[in-house]
Amino acid sequence: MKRKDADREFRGFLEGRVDRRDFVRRLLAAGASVTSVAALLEACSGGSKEPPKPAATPSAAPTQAASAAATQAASAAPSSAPAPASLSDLPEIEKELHIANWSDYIAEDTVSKFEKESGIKVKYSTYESNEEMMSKLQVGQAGYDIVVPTGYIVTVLAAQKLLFPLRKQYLPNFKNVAGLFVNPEFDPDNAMGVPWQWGTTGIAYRSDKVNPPPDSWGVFLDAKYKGKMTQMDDLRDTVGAWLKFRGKSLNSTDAADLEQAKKDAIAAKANLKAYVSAPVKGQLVAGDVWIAQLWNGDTAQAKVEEAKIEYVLPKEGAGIWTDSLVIPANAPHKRAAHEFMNFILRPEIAAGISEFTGYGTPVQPAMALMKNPVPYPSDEERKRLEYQKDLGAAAQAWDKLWTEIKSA
Amino acid sequence: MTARQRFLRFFHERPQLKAWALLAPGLTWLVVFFIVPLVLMLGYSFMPRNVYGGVDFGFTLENYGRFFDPLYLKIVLKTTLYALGCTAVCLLLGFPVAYAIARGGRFRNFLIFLVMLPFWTSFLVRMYAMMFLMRDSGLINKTLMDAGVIETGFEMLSTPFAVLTGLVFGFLPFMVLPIYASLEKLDHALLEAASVLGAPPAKRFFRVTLPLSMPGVVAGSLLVFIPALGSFLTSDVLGGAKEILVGNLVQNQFTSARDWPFGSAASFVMMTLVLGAVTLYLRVRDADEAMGK
Repeated sequence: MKRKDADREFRGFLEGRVDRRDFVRRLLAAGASVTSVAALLEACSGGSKEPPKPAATPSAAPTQAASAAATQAASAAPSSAPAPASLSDLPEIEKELHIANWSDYIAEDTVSKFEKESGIKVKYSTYESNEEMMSKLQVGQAGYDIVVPTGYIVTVLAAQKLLFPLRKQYLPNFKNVAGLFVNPEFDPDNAMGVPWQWGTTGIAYRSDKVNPPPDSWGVFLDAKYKGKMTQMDDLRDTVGAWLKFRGKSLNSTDAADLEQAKKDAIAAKANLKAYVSAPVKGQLVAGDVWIAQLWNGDTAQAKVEEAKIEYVLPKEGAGIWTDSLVIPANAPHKRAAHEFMNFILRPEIAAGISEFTGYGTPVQPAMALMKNPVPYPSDEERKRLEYQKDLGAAAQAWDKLWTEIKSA
Repeated sequence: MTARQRFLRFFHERPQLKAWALLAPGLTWLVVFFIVPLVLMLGYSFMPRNVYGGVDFGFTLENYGRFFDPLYLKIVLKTTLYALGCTAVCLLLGFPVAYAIARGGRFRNFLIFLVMLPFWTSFLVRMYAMMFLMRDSGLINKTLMDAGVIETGFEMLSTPFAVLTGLVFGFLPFMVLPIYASLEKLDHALLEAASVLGAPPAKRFFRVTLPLSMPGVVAGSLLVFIPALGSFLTSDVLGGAKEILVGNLVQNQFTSARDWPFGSAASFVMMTLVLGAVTLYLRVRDADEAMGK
């Protein structure tokens, strides 16, 4: 019994941390090499009794590490970018494609299926933050054909003329995209991007410990759960939640709105155990944390381990996000990139991807093919959801606000 | 004369050229990967932030001006206190360890190997391991509760105690190794002389051993203090990210805030402060030594 507990906890610990964004980003920030991390994770997972669940396992890490290494070597070679095609047409389908995506954010067989079917050779590399990917595009030497920015980053990249407008004639499967993801605010007419995965940022809680179930961001102000709650370690998500709490836009740059959000955030901080994003999953499973601000997909991953974890969209509203596939303006294989986009918009392929990531698929017909699809928000819920926008010049004021909250 | 001999003679006759040839690889590496980025950062720190996150060309002192806000100065102070605390604890824990190893006889090399062992894993992985130990249902609390020592678990994680413990754990080897190096070279004849002249063990330690190990203590303290001042992982992982240290502030500028100029300016202010403090300390010490002699 004890032994099994320990095993489960260790695996939860691993899975909690082996999250595509936080864990690897921090590891890399700490100077660990991609291969050493992958080797370590593999060694660890090899020690546990049961095979880890596909949704959050490190099993994809070694292949990704290998491809990342291959990419590093390859990107040193000069890229031969062809002259931009005419507005309507692209030349013939290239034989190569270079995709850069977040780690653990695609099914293991997606790329190989595409290669087999199209005859296009895919180079696949990974990154850990929008900023990392963006700085590579800004320098202009990455040689990527597809990258996967979060919604408002698409706006920023498009404004800097770093993206290639999509040629819809090569994307017949775009018709499969659910209405919610067509013509998003951050990318009018889907001119630049094809939706990849989506999610919301709400509240995960332990139904066995929290009664009545929370329905408001105000739960973080309730001293009853002091020390058992966490909010995300991200200024946009946490400050955004407090703006929503007062009925404001989570993109507000109004000084009075922000001042109030700061007060609420500081009041809640006294009750918080920590500011932590994805890694909180392990603590929810272990029961150290009862209420956590979290994404729906990560909550779903935690629920696989512990059925008593539930998810709620607060009544005041919450954030929704969509990551999109986009083509950099100087991508060398633009037509092949379209082929890949069209490929992942096929229901069976899209279903496979979302089964792996645990996030929602924007491809409507894929829903019927999945065991546990993330349901689309109802019309009523949709009204409460808001996309993040780039803050532009207000980013400095927001960052100072965050520093003040953390220093309080 | 073979080509090899000609080659060797060429350099033998030109010692200065030989010195430069030997320096060249390391120097090139330093210039390309250290000096050039540093100069770039210095440049950035005087430029305005671009709305989309890069930099615009231009000149401004605003980035430095912003840093001297009481908000940020308080963060500098708090970070300095953490770093000083970490250095003090490392010194208290590290000196006896180094002393024991230096007297460790044939186990010496093995003990040194044990001190170095943590470096085989990444700093971050070690911090997560600490988290695993210290969390509410972690190994420490669970063991104590199962043994009936305590009823409810201690709240260790997300406290200043956790941050300090993490920093000490992370940097302790940097204290032990230099102190060991200076203790190992200690001439036993001096201790024997002190004995013969009637000094009791305590006096021998404070009058002979400690002063002679000072170079190691100073080196160790600097090696611990400086990285502790710049650390950002420990407060994030073990402190529950509820506090912000200078390292986190700089990291945020380069990631979420996309404000490279301010991040660069903050880095340069910290670098200047550290360099200034170290230089001042070394000056004072040299002056003291000169007076002593």
